Amino acid sequence: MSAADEQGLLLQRYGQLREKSIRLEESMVEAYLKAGNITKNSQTGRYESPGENPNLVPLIDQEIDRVHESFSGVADIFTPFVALPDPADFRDAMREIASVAGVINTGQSSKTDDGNLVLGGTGLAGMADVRSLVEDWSGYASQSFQDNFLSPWPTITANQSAMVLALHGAVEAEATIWKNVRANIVDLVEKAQHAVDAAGECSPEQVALNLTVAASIVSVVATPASGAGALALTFVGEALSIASSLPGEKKEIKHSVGSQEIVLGGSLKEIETQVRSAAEALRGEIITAEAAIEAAVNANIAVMTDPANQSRFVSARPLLADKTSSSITHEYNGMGKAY
Amino acid sequence: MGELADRLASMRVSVTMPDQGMSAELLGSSQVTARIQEGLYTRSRDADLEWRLTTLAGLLWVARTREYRRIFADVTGQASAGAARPISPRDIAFAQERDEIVAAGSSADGRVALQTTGMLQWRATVEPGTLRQLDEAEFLAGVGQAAGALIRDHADAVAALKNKHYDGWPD
Repeated sequence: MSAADEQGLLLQRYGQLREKSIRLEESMVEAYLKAGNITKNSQTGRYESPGENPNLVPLIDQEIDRVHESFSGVADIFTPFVALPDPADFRDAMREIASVAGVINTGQSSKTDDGNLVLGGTGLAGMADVRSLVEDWSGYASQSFQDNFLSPWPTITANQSAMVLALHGAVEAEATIWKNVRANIVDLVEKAQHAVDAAGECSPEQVALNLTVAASIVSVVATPASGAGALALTFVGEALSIASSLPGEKKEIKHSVGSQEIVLGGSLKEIETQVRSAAEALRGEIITAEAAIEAAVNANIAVMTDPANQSRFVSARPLLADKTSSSITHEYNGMGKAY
Repeated sequence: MGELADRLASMRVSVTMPDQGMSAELLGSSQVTARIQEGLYTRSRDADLEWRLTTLAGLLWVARTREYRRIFADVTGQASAGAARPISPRDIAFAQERDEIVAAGSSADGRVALQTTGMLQWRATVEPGTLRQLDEAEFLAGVGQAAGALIRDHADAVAALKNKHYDGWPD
């Protein structure tokens, strides 16, 4: 199945979450009553006991009400998960960031994917030609221009590119979280249904699923840029892609966890308890994953706003930029004259 | 209920004895239909039918178990627990007692009776003189009644056992 088909199928399954959760609750009631020989008439929808004694009907009705009450709230376990953010909603932001990267990029490696970072911006790549153009220019201004502007330029743009990559990764990580939450909650309701359906069988069946939200993203400190002024930034992104998309030395893993296995099985009340615990665990995974993104973004903000790093992000403004037609030929602060 | 329950409710399993003398079909959880080779009923004795029913019951339940595990794996993507040895103390205790459950069922007139221990050992009883008293259709109907009653009796015993070993199962 293609990735697009998988996404479409998940979207369809997720759209049925409310309906599936209601069915799960009703199934628990039905299975519980069936074990007590009170079965649901498929045509009337009414619960009946075989060989029903009319005198016992009130007691049977009482039992039905008791069981309904016992399992009420199962559907509501899933209510908080019904209107989750759509991962597709993050694509526009990712494309916008990718377009910025396209302007800055002067050849640093990055991902090439629709909606992801695009390699090969040419807007600022022309700076590499400037050094050859000013080869014949000598003097104090020339040396200052080369030392303070031309030489640091690659590292500065590389740091900028790295920061954009980090920002892109953070947005991608956010989309990844919600993609996995949707997949996990649908998995939970569907597998709980399987466990309930099998609860009356001779074998005590167990159905397993994995919570993957916290494991779906990875956060790592790395220095993609090269050169003396290269900065270490914290990159967070989808675990599957971040390792391959992140060049340079990877210094420290800040967040990387495995998936959490959930097992559903046993009696109906045990399955209900397991479902509640799993939903709570999923909430915990969301908090953990969001904290990883927040920590990465905050760490990068600290790096970017550190006064000591300003010269590594922002190029020094050449004095030549303020020159006029008369001052451009100044011997010391301009380009001098040809004699 | 869900997809697994729906598929189990509509499950259909058929078996035929090696000599083709009798066959049986199980539909859903407990609806059993038995058939006998043309002419065999009138040529048989009560004791002959006893061993045929005993053999047929065992074959049918093995086939039912196999089909259940296939459906379970197909729907859930996982193997049925029954396909593996139980590993938790609770599951082991449950399995041991489950395999010792004695369940029984009989036809409405009591002439045909089936008994099982753990759905592993089977014994059929045909009351002497049944073949003289019942025609083929009546006999086969009685077989279906006995088998259905046995399956339901066994299911009730399993439910009671689950109540004993697992929290929150109804009395």
